[in-house]
Amino acid sequence: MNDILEIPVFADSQSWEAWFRECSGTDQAQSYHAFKHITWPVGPDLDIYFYLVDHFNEHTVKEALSAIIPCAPCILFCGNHLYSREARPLNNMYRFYLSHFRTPVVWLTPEEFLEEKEIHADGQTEEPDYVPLTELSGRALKKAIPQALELIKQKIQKD
Amino acid sequence: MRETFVISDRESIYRMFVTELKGIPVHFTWVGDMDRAEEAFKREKPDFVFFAVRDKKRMHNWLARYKKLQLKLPFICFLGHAQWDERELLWMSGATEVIGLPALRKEFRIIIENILKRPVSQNGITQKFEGALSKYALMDLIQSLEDGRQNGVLTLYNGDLKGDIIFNKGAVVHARLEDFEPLLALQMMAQWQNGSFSFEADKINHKATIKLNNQQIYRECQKYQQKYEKAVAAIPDKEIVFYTSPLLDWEQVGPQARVYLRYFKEGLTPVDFLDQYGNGLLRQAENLNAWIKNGWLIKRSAFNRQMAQLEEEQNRGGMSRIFQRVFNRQKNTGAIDYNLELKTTGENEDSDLLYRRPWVFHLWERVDRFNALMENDDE
Repeated sequence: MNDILEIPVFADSQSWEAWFRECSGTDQAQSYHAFKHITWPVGPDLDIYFYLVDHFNEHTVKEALSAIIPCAPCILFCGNHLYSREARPLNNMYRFYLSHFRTPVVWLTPEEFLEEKEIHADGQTEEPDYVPLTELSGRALKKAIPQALELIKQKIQKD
Repeated sequence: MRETFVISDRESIYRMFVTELKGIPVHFTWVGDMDRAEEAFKREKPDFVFFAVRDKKRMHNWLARYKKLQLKLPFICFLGHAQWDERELLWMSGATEVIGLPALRKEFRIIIENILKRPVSQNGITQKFEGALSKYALMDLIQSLEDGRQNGVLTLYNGDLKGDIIFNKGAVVHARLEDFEPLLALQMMAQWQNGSFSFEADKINHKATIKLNNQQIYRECQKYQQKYEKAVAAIPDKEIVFYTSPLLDWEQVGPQARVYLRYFKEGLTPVDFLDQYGNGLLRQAENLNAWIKNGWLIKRSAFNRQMAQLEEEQNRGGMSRIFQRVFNRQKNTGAIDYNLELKTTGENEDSDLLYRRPWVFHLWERVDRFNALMENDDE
């Protein structure tokens, strides 16, 4: 019986699934109604479960993940275009998320897109935490996820 | 479906149970040896426990450790060939049944089926019980129902309000109060000091809408109570009688506020209002504070002054009233600004946070382990 860390992931395209699979060293993803489940066996007795939501539907997200999200260490929002206008579906997810949950969020986005950051006044009250990705690949994700968890931990210790 | 923990150091035994007892409405979970089982019991309480180990010394050791946990769950011991006196010893230590393996398949199945058919709690509450909320705090009630692993509906009454809290084997799984979200409904009911309760046991497997465990619920309720008490403490002159301002334009007020403000028409203290009409909602206490600040609710002296002012206006001739209104518009200090309410309630961001699901993650040790593993990986 392995210990598990469950991390829900909201992504703006289906390509993220391939990168998360590469990061987890698996070529399998179980499909459920609202999300895809990828298991990453990190150590001999520790697994990470990613729940990938790439198709936004308020009802199914609430039904399927409302029990998991409060118990997750953090939520990952993965976007190629952070804050920009192309990222409207992901921003919609983010706004929906903010009004329903309190679990902290970390954004994962490629480094080059951090420059074109644009903060909209609507719905976003503070600048969220983000971890830049050196490239769009499983290897980069593998480095970024521990950073994201560390970020949240430090934030809590500060509070 | 009964949940059964199989405590054994061999997975093959668990597999044997799963294949041989197919079709019986029982779900088996292999929890490993006693070390692991102790961890598992902290997380979950099954309906039955199966101990399966060949070595008798080890069996007694495990049983002693199990007894220490004081779970009071029925358990069955599976041994290799055992003499009568050895079996007797296990029966005396509280085992529901002792079964020597290997056994005849059919016989084995019948024995297990009969044991599992018995009701889970024979000493559970079968009748209704009632009481007053002033004598029992809701949290204590929940705690005692959790200890007894009760299944049923706890109904609370407070004035005209009626709320339900639903239990599944001692765990709070749902709460109903008007149209409020289950967790918020529970937090509101936890603030009720007066009223009564009744509990009716049932055997229904209720649907879980609150996914937090009871400990997490206690924590959330405590946090809510602190905020509620803070909001009540912030109300000025709680013991003094307040009246609804006669200058108040009722059409400018929201429908819910109108209902509450009507109670103050004949004079009422904020404390009495919360006692008689309070539903435990944080926003209600905050609004009371805002209404007093904005002049919707006023003290007796101000009320008399405003009444006199109104009477004077009534007695004046129609033309002079219009002149007064038109030319004194800028100077009119008695007028009420209806936008003020939004500003004061907007200051408190916590009330918005109440409607969001709380963050209850606590397994930081796993995060540390993960980070350590990843660091080693890099090296």
